[in-house]
Amino acid sequence: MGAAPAADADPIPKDRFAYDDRIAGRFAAATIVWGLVGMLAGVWAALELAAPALNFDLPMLTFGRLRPVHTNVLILGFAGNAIFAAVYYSAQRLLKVSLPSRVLGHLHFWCWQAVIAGASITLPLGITQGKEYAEPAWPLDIALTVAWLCFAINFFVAVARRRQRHLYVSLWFYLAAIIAVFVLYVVNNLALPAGAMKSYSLFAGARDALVQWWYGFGIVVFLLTMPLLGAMYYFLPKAAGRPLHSRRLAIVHFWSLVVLALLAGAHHLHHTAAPAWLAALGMVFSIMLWMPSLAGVINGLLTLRGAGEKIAEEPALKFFIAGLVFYGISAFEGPILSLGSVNALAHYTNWPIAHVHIGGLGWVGLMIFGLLYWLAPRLFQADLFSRRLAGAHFWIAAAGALMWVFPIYAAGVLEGLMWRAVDSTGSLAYGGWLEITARLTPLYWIRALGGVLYLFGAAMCLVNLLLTWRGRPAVYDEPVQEAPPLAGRYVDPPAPASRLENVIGLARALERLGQGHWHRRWERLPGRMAGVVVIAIALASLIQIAPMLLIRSNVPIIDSVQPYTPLELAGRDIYIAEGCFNCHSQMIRPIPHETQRFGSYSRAGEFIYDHPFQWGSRRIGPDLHRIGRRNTSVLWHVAHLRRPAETSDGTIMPAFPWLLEEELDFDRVRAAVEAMAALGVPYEIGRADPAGEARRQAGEMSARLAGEDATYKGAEIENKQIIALVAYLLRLGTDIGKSAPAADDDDRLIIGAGGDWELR
Amino acid sequence: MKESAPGAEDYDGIRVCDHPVPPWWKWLFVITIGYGMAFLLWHFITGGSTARDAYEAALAAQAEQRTAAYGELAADEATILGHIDDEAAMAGMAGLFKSKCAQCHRVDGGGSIGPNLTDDAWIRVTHVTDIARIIGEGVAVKGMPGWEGMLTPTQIVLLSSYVARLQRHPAFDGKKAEGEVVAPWPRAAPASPPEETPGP
Repeated sequence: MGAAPAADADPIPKDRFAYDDRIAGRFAAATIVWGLVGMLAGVWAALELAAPALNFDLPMLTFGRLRPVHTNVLILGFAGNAIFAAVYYSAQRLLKVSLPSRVLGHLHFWCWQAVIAGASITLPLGITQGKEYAEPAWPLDIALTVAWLCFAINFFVAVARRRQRHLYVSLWFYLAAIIAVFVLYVVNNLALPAGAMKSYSLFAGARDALVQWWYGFGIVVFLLTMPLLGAMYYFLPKAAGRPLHSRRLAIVHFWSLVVLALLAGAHHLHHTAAPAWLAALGMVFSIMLWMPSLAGVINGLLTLRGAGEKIAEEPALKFFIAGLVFYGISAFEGPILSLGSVNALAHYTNWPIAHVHIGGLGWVGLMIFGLLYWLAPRLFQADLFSRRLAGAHFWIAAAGALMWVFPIYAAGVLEGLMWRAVDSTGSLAYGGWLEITARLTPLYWIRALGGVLYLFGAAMCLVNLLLTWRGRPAVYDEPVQEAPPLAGRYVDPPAPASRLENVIGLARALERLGQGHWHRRWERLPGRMAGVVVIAIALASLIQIAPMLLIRSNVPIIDSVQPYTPLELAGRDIYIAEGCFNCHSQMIRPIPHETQRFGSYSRAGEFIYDHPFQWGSRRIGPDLHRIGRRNTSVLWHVAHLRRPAETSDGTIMPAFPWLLEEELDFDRVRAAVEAMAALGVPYEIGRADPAGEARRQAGEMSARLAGEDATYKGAEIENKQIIALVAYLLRLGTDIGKSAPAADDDDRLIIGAGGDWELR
Repeated sequence: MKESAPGAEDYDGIRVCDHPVPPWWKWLFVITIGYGMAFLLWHFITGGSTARDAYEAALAAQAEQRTAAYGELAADEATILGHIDDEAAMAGMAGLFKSKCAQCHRVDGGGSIGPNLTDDAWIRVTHVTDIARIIGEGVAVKGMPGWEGMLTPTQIVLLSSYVARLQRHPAFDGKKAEGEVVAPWPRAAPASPPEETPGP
């Protein structure tokens, strides 16, 4: 027991303060509004895959531009806002502090919404960085970082001013999340700006791929799962009125996630051009994450023992339970997908999409709805408008989620098996891409219906919350809290003596470790906790990233691989702007059925000038890495992009007719080349005239097109965006077949000396 | 006010029990860590069995499977015409055609970007051996890739048979005829059936 103050008769005076719940209320409202926007974008995108006519030939509606709206709005707007609401509400109470700075709170809120609104507008306009879950342009990235810093400052100042000495479990999760998200976000978004809304990633090719997936998995863990787990540790026992099941399990749960999670992301790189040791690390750490994730599920569900009646009457609890179950399923499935053999079947198919959505709809979504239903009455100080409506929402959401994932699991396995099927002569049994696509359509319809159900449920939530809010009092009650400040001195109670007899010192030390008394001390030293988190994150990240950046043998150079010509670079920018990577991969794996279908497998050295990399993570359409060797007809590409249905019967690709009408901005070509040169791509820009070279190559391509089809003579296509995009596509994957050009003395390849660019 | 000991303390009303970690959980965790470390050690020490090794092995097996049935085929008229009625080979080539040729020539060979292969008008082709030559070299000025190097010589021969055979099923709404009319291919003696190969 703690040492009692000498003068017990003179109690320490208590501070009086009030919690600021207005800010949590604002975040809660933003949650459901953006949730509906993001889910609507998702439903539309899903319907487009089943009925491509729904693209309506509108640039802003194409799947490639719509999908990033769906992902970013939901991650930032639905999950982000919900997490802030949960953290602002629970952290004040767990620390017994009122919000340190209302100004920072406002700045956080408005800046955050501005980022999401900005992304919703810019992404459909084709303004994107071309990296998954990191698409928004660099000014939005900066704004988001500022908002995050406001959040972090408020949180850490509150921790410093706390009146509860020991940090409860939830606060550990919040603390780790705040630190990790900052590191992940900043590093992955490192880029060189080349315009008001354009930038090129600092990293290229395989290195960019590693940074991207270290971030991609890391952000799902630390921005979504960790804070929601922290919220679960607070709101679930609160709602159920039951004690948390196991402190020790929470300690193991927390630290294993922090230590292991950032090394698992490379499971996205199995069988790619990234080095095999990275994928091996990713696989091993994903498997080690298996049990820790389950620990959270156990701790949460066992906390509910004896809470049967509460579960029946409190709608939030149903959502929390289902959320935890889905979390368990998703966290069980993840390591399985990380196994090399399973990954070889599943990568690029619908299966990882189903995995994402069982986590997104099941864990994240249901957890958030539960939080909203529990928080709303308390934040708005009114009874929940309708518990029955909330209950109905639960069943509709669960049904919608299941109806969403089952067909997509089926589609994923079907695709994977059909891609690899060979007949008795060893040839592809399903050589035509579109015959496989056609089989998936019915499954896409069922999934879309599931999404509509889920969206409908979310709309029910909005109605419920709105009508609850309307019942709020004219003036909010701000109950005064009383708690004494922390005493200046504190002596940790001594650890209980070991009851082991006749054992060596090591056994006693291990027993002490197992008791967790040392952790009790850490819980009152947030600086130390934060420090250990920083070290764990840094180590996990550097072990992977440093060798990739510093050890050259991880990305063997191929002499014949040259930088893109200025026209091809402009074309690549269009490829990125249209979001082509959302449907098309550029990574052929060394697997026989794959090389038979797409050409020889992709080597890391082929991507060294790709800022950002465009390996993709999905094959809704075929892989494009060697399209320049497989489809060498300018006419085919122009016709296919203008209206895919004309060349490809049964395609679900949207049409891009505006590419034949929009003028190519040749003035921007120089800026692009200069940015690439600054990033280390060996362009000699001093004497060459990039814009002139681009025009020349465009003219040559236009002549080629006229040669293939005389109706294109005089069509002035050499000034249009399409010619650049086709130039880029025709270049893809063709370098390894060529002989290396003569290199200059000092290793830098001088291209375009005298202004002559070689037409590939 | 005395600060309470763990267990008695509550966090905003939440109390914390300290049930032990379930033994089955603990041991499964330890096993995954042990397996993981052992795997990493093996991978880094032996270089591991990388995807590349598995690929090379699988490719070799597949090449064997493919040529085992037909061996090295010569791109001459008798061979090409002889395999037109080899149903097994033609079924395999249908898949290959879909994968590589259908984008420009349409799945049924009726033509869209590329010419109609099902009518009797041919560009630059007078004998079936010309088909094999064009498949291998491509037609750069028209944008057709050359498949030499991407397809084996045997595949090119069998694919030529498949293309020659397309005339038997003229496409319903195929592209207009281009080139010059060529007389129907001569009949040839069917090539000897491939040896029985063990199952895949």
